[in-house]
Amino acid sequence: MKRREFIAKTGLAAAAGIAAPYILPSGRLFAASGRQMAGHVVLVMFAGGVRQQESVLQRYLEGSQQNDPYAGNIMYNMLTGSAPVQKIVYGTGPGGLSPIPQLLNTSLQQQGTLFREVSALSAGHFGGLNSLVQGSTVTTQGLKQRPLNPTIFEYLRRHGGYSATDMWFVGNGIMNSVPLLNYSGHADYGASYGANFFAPTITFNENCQAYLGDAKVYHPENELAPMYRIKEFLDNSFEQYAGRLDNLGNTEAEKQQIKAFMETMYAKTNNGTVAMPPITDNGDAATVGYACEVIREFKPALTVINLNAVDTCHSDFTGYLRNLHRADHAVGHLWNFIQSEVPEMANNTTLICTPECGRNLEPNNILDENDWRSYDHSDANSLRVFTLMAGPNIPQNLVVGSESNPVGGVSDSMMTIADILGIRSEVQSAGMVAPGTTSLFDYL
Amino acid sequence: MCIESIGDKELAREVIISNFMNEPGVLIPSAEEMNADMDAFIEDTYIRFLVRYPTEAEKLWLKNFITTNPYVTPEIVYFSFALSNEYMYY
Repeated sequence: MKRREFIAKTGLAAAAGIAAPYILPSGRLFAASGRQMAGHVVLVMFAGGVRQQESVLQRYLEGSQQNDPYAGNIMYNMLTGSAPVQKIVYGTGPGGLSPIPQLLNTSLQQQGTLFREVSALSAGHFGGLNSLVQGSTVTTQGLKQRPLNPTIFEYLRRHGGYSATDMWFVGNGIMNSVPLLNYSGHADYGASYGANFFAPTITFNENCQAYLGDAKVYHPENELAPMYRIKEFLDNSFEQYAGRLDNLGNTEAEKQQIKAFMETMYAKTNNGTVAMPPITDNGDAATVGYACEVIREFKPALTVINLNAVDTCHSDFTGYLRNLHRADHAVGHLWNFIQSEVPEMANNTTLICTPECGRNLEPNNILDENDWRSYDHSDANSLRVFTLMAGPNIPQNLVVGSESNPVGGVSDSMMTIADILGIRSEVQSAGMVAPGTTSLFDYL
Repeated sequence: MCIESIGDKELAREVIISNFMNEPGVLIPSAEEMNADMDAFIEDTYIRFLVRYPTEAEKLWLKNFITTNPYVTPEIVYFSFALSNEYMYY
């Protein structure tokens, strides 16, 4: 039997299994007690510390750079508003003079609902990312440590009955604690309910291709099956005195699919046919391009994408503006791609974009190439962010909250995903989210 | 770095090992050598990968498995050992 045939057959077998009632690890017959508002959710963790002033408030340079009082919207795929007309630096070409053309005819704000003023739980990246995937922050949470509370991936797999390849976390890299966010260290959840993860700009780069790109293909039944059997025997012996290593629980068919996907990605990377955004001149844009490929292949129930290129703002405000413009471009491409290239997900996918944290009101003393001041993230302004949602059952062209009337928190994004995919009550019952965390639908 | 960039570490290791197996110059005993002295092959494999001798039970199980499965080659055995948790642990 050829490998693709094997995958197809095991896929059919899996489908037959799904059709028959079975008991979930949670002890429930069938999954998801709640209503399901969409079949798929894509959460973009946007995008490394974004100030309200340059995003929702559309101030561009006004207020942040003393001698350049020029306002405008540089996120016109996501937000509604006119672009700046002076001091353009965020585009392409020499000096960034040419803004990237708008991809979406109608901004996501018009297609969906914008929560203008949302409260972040942490002024730092990892705390912020944790609050997005866990719906909470834990004071004892360390860096370089898996989330202490379960992530949305684990809730969905445990209570919603989703498989490992239904959950994908696509990271911008492997720096800091990003690769640890696909599952928690919680005793009742953990690796066996975790999400698959790629940091695709690493996995599919030239260096890793040397180690991963020429994998030998083994026959699934004649060669791989006995190989796994011997491994299982060895692991059972080892378990008696040292336990098991973390395992995401991909089935053999899922593993074969991931391996085949990797092979395809190496080929596509080499011949330049990955579904990249029209402008892919930074890591975030490339990450979104690969995320599109993950989405096309696996059609995950939940895809979480982490972007962080705007973090250059610590020392390079011009770079921050460029990367913010590109993050918006990448999100526009992602939404277009889902609607036009993935028929199974078109009109059945909710997109949620939330920054993990904001940035300071006052600049630091670092000047960039344009003599513009840079911004860190530690003050109250760093706790001001937004959430943008679009998709089925989400009111169009609705704005909720304002600068003087904040509505919602970052942890609500996680509960909203649980709500959309039908496991909200299970997540609430687990009792491990930040106080006051609720579904954003409650505010509509 | 490559392993860290993939969520399923077991899968990542599998791909890396199978990549190694495609390299020219990989030194693996032949099937004839394995079959000529199965006990020595098993003992050598345990020492090579797990830095210990197999127990009698382990030796017996593996010997039975290899002799009753026609597709099990030394490469498959090496692959399994390289992928085992015990090998990874150390």
